[in-house]
Amino acid sequence: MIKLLWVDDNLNQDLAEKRMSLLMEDEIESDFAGDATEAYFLLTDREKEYDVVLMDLRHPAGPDDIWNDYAEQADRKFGPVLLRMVKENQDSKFNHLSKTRYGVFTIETKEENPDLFVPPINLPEQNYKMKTHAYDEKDFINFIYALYKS
Amino acid sequence: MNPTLSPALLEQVRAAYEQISGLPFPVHATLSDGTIFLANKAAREFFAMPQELDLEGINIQNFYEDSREREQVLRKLRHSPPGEWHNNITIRLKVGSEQRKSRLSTLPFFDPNNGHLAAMLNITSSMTDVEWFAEFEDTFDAGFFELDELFSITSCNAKTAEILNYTDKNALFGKPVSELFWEAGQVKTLRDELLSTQHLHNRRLKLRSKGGAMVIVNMHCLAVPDETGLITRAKGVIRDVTFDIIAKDVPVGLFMVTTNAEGEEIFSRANEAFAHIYGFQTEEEIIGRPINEFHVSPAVYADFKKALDEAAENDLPLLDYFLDMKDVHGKKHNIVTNVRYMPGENRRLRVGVAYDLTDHVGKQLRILEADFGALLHTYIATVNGLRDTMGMLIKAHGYDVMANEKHIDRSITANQLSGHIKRLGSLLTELEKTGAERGVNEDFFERIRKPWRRLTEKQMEREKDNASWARRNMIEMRNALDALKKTGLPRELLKSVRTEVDEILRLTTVTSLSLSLDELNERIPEFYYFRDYLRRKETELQDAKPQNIISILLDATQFLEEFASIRKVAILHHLNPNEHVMVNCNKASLNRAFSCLLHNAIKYSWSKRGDNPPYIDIRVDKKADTMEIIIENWGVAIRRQELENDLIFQFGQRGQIADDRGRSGTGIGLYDAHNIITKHGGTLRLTSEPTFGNPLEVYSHPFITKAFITLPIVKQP
Repeated sequence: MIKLLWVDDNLNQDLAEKRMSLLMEDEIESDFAGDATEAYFLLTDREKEYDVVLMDLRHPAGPDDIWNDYAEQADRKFGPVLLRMVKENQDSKFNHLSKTRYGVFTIETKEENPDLFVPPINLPEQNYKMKTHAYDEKDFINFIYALYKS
Repeated sequence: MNPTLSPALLEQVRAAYEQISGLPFPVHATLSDGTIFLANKAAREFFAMPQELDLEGINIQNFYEDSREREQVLRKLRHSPPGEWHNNITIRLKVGSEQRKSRLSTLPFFDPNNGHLAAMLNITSSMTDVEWFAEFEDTFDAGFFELDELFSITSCNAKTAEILNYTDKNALFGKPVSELFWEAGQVKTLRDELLSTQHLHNRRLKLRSKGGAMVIVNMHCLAVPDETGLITRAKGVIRDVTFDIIAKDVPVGLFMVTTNAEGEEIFSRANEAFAHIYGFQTEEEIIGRPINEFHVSPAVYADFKKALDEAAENDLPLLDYFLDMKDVHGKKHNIVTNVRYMPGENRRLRVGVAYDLTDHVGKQLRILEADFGALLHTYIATVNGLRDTMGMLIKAHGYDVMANEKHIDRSITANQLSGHIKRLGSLLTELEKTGAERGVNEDFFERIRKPWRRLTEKQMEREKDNASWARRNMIEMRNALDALKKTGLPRELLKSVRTEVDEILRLTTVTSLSLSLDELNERIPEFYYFRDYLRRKETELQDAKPQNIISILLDATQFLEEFASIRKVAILHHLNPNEHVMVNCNKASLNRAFSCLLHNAIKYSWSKRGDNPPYIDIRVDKKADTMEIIIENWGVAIRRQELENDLIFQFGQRGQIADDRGRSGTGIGLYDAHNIITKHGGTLRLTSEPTFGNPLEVYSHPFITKAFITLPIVKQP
């Protein structure tokens, strides 16, 4: 069973059917977060040892004020902030996620996000998928399985 | 007389004196203590001493303006070889009340017994100011030159060489000036002008420096013609003004900002182009002005300073920084600036350039807006068509669950769905039983059980997800049922199962269509608003006409009824459609402003009060000269600091909690509404306060938000 967390603010709009397609997969158990706050609380939950975290790059901060400190530098781009936070605290707060694989699913290009591919995030290039490139449901599901195996 | 001067030495001095005392210069001899013991006629005149006066007791020291200067002269002479004249000693003397800049030529005499300086023979002459400063000739910040009758350079100082990019001034000697002039024919013009006036003042010349660069100089030139009228020589001064001209004429703002003693940043230097950007005619008008007079907001300036300081930390200039500012008339400008702190000034002095991109950006934006407005218009047409098609599909397939002409009744749909699922469950049990009796392979039934289990065991939170979930599983089941056709199971039973599956698919499809239609309808007012914003014309009051504001407000309210019904927000208003309150206005603009404010009120409404739906309340209050419209809603708060700093009225600025529960928006509406209402001579004010008893800054509680719009009324004759 693959335990997945998908962070995206459009899960109830254009991604609604893809979200449902995940639920049809017997091998995937999914949690969803629509903003950075929700994602943060799921990621810090030590009982949730996610195998795969799939992250959109831009989403709202959500109600928690901790994001005010990041708002200016993040410009709503809280995905990289979350990934950095997890990776930089891999030995402490997020040590339950040490084996987690991370993926990015976004409309932005790799070139717009060079920080993702260098420390501390170190995202493997194949774990980055543009939404336009994996729009088909099957491709999307295969991407999740590929992340799990990465 | 100094007894230490030996007769032999005295005779030596006297002999030397006799040789030159007949020259038309002041010649005098002194002892080392300054006592004058010989002086010719010119010297007596120079020092204002009567010709017949005995020199007893007259000391040259008394003529020095500063006695320390004589000490310096003596120090020089003590280290000089005997018998050699020292020229070019400059001193300041004082004769009576008159100061005299003087040149001293001195021959020192030393006592042969002890080698001490014993006496001096001096030639003293007055100097003009030019002569006095001549020793700075090579370091003075102007070029001096002299030309012969052929206009070739015979002499020049180091600065002339520097202006022309030569490292050695000697390289210029003998060079015809024609080689240094940028344009052919300039020499002739210069010669002709000098012949006619002999003295040219402040003439601008274009020269060619070594290396080929143009140097523009301001020249003063004096010509000496002979008796035949030919110029025998000319001399002059040049000053490099190339960069002064560039600074003055370059069409870009140049500026210097200094922090004064009070810690205030002021413009300390600027060129004319910079002054123009800020709405002034001349640079003098902006010099000394505090720069904060021109900030759009403290936050914008703080951002700029932060970026500048960050660049400075890395020893870099701040480049291509976009800054909004307002000019002296309050008009906003889009500026791009390159700026850096001057080294060694502790960040109290910075220099930079500024370009005004307002018109450029404005033009680009207008094109973009027009294009995007047209595109959005087409898009809205497509969406409207799609909406109608969806409406027809709902009517066609949801004929038995319609609540009215447009909407299905979801509770009826849910009931029917539940009945079909129940019946499907019974039919599947029967099918499995029959299959077992007839020995149908278990695998066929496992393919049916799987979607059935999923459907019955998992309930989604959202209606839309439930419909999608049921549909997905029914599609899977339908495919599994197709495989059962050839297994010998009763056809009627299979058909009944298939009918239930199809009914579930129909009802979930109608539900999904209906929900999607609601989503579409929810977005459509935003599309309309944004299209109208992009296609707007600037609100000009001279184009305005007196119009009934009540009717405009009712139109906007009516337009948003569908949106409010989807959001389940009631619109309460106390408007009398028959009432006429005339306001001088542009109808389309004001409609847009009201639509935006009403749309916000609906969008950000929510209620904690169980079955009581949220509502917005619209009131009008007519006063003597104005009318006030108050739009009130309960729901998402606007943070206090966003209200206090007017951040909500800034272009592109959305409230920090405006995206609560996925509420979308652009951050343009309130800016636009504020702009429109202000241009109509009115005001727009917003308040957002906690509901009764709730704390001030706990924004998870509902807040009462009110928009107060005032507009001047046109009085009926």
